[in-house]
Amino acid sequence: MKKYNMPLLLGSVVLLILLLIMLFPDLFANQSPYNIQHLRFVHENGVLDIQRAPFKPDEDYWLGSDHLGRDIYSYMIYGTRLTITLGLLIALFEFIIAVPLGLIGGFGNNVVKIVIEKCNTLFSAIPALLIAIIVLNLDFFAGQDKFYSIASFVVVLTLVGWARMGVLVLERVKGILTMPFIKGEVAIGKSNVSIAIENVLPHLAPELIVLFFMEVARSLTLLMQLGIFAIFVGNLGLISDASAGVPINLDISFEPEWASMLSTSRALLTTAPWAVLYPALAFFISVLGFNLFGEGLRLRGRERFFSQKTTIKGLLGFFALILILNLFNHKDYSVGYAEIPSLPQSVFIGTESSQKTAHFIAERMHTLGIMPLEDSGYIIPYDLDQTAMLTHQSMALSTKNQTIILEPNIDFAFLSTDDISETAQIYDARKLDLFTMHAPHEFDQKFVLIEKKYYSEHALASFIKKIETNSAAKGVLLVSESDTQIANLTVQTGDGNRIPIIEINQKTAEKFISNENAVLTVEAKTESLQYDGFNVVGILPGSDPYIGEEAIVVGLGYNYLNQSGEDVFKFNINLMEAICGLSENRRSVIFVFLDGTLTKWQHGIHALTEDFPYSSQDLQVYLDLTGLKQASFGKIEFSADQAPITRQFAWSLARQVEDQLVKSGLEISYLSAIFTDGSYFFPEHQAYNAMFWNRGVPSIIMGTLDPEDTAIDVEMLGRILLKSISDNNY
Amino acid sequence: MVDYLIEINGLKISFKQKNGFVQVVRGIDLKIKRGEIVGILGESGCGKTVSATSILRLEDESAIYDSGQIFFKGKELTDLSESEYQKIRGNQIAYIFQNASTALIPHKKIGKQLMGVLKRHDLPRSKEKILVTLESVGITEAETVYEMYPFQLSGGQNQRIMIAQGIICGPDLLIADEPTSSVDVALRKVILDMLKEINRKTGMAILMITHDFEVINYICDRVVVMYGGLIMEEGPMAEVMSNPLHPYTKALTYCAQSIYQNGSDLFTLSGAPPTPAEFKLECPFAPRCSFKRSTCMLEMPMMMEVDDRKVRCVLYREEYPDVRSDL
Repeated sequence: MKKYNMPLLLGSVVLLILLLIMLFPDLFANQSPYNIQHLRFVHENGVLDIQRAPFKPDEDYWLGSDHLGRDIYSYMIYGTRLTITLGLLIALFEFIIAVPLGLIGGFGNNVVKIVIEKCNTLFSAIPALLIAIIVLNLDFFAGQDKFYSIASFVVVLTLVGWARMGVLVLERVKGILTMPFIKGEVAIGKSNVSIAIENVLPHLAPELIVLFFMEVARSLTLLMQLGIFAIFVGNLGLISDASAGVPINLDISFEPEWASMLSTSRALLTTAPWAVLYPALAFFISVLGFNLFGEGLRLRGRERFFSQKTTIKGLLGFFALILILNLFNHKDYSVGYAEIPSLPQSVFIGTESSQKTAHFIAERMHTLGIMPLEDSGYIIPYDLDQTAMLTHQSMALSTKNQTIILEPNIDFAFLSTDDISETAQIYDARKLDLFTMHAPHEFDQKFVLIEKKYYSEHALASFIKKIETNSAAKGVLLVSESDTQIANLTVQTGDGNRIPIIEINQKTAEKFISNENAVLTVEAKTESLQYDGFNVVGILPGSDPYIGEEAIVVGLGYNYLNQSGEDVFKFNINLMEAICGLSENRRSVIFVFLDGTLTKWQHGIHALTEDFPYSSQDLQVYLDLTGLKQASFGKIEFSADQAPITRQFAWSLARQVEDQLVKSGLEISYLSAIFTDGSYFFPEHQAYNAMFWNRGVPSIIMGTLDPEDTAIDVEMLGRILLKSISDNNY
Repeated sequence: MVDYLIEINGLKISFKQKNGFVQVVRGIDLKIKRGEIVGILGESGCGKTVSATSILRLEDESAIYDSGQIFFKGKELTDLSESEYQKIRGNQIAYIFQNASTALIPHKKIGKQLMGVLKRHDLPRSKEKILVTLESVGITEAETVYEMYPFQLSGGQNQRIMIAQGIICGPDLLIADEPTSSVDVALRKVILDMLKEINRKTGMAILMITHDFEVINYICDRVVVMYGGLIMEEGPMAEVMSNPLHPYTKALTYCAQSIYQNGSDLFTLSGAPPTPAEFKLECPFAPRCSFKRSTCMLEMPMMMEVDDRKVRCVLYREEYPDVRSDL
């Protein structure tokens, strides 16, 4: 009748359950731990009731929710991995330090011996908890990202706790060394190192293993205590309300973790006790589990002796398990370029190529399982009435001696024109006060030269109108801000009466100015665009019953003029496919392929935002990738200004993308934005403002700059984007 | 000039105690030739074990070498570093302990332990060699024993294995610390025979530490008698046993012989040997000596040479010829 080793049995059961939860949280949790829901509508007995977080335990929230509306049960399930791993790591590192040092000290090295003993005295006199609180509260540790936060925790708590183990090991080693066979080993000439490894360790091992589990239990207890003081991994340290002059911290963690629940719920103990008690219970059960297991091992170890081999095997197997756990998260985020045969050389809005490509995209969406949003299908056309394609453009400057021919789309670009052919002199109006045009007749029969950078779009538009109405100018020349390339292929047409507006670059402007009496000849022919603009829109439905309605929107372009742009298009297609392939698409993803991204006013987003086919409330974020124009480029243009922290999902996605960009060492150029009306506005890129200002959807903008430089590949961005989206979805 | 294997000159060793030092070995000179079997005879506490272990520097950290030199094959051992010493231990000089069952590693199989010795000294790790060695020390089922643990074997077998562990590297000297005291009589003879055999075959010298007369009688070529941290008498075994010079040796032989004689009284020696803390600068045996002179308590007697023997007793000075005849 064998008596069962109860502690070992119970302990193993608990640890096994914990292990399963750590490996397969999806099986246990019924919700995503990240869903923040402050208000909830409950339909009960025909009565509509509004509830405010924290929610009581009921059939949806099995253990209730915290004050942000996050489900306690799911949060605990997902948090198991991080919390238990922390406990294990701390115990592990304590041992890694304590065992070798204890061995060295036990063999007679006095220096080490004294170090161990002094450290022990120090850290037992001052409670480990206090030291940990003080150290981890330093600014250095606030708001660190996941890896560094975990590392700091482990390092600090290890340093605080190792000496306890050290003294124990020291004593044991000394004891073992007094055993008679040690002398025998010395007599046959064994060195201290081999004696330590072959003789001392196997005697220590059983006890150390038992101690290890006890130590894990102890570390978890310490973590729990620290959690109450709001010291936990990944504390964002946000300030929720500083209006009273005293910042009130909003201690939330971006990763599920048990200790954080205790801190956020301290205040809720009386009002929502479930938010505190259940996490505490989780800690309690885990600590109990580890302690029981250790105790059980000790009871068992009395009967058997661990040989060296089984010890090492056991330890290795155990740590291999932990490694596997963490490697489980490793995923492949490569995107690559899609293989699309027979793509047109260039795709431009309003032409046949755009129509064909739009159909191609719609087909691709269909194969990927993306559904159309409108009944009419994926393709949403829009009017292009006021737009025409330039079939011919030329500009030449004639002086007495020579005629300089200027290059279209390099030296100049038509912004707006009808069919014209004009020759006239240039009037340099750069230093004039254009707001009050005293003598507009001075512009008659001349091209008016205006410096663009001093004025807003709005101002410029009003000048041009004034010039049109009050003078007989032949046209307006706008000097662009920088030496960037200016290019434009479509122009806004008028009703035959408008004067041409031409953008020129600095160099050209200089030529004009330096040749005083030169004469400018300008020609242009236009042709209306054949087709409408085509936006292709589709939705990949989300899998989660609760948050599946929420969606992230990904905006991509499909217009291009050269091979580099074609590569970007291939990349975009693959990106769409890769996003569909992500395993945890709880929320829906809306893919929007916009037409006219190469033009200013015909950009598809304007038409789309006038009547977006999805409820804006459910749109969590708009990831605007229409700025990706080259496959290889020098800088990344980025802005998260339109994803403020109050829009948590968008904000955390933007944070992740930015962090990754910075980490990968890519050069970032931040879009200049103006803060107005409580939000940010991009003065130079109307298209970027559309979603945020028209629909209230927070936007993250990314684009490519410096096409001459080929340091960065758009592929790299793909990786970063996929990882960020995946991580943010969790 | 005879080539000595071991030469110890004026060795003095102290141990650190709570309140100062106590000198346990007070100046011994000992020479061991190649292939010789020397026995150190003495009671507990006379310093014989410390003297022997000092050759291999095996004692505690609290032991201090006050003075003296130990030469091994002409090389001075006191200068050696710990790692150099580790090369000698088990390899050129082996040491076997009194209680084999505790001195062997309890959690390692026999085969592994012996393999470990070979490994330590970079010798070929041949299972063959181990089996042969085990058989040479009289283990009959060497293959089986190879896979067993010390606790599964008897004391006698463990003792033999211990000897096997000592000789497996073919050392020049084997220091045996009371190898037969924890073994039954029948086995004692077997082991001593075995040691003699090894000595005869391989020329390995043996330094035997014992308090057993019969062992000395049976196996040793020369005998050294220690008392109170000093050597009292030294000489060829047969001569010392049949004709002891020192009063202490004489008393010892009387004690031993009286067991076998069928007399009614056992000869005993009154008193007890001094502990190291009680050592003084006088003849340590003087308080118990029946031939005590006045000078015995005033100074330490010098070692005298008598033919090819040595004795530390004032009686062998010129002035006391008559007393000697009384011995």
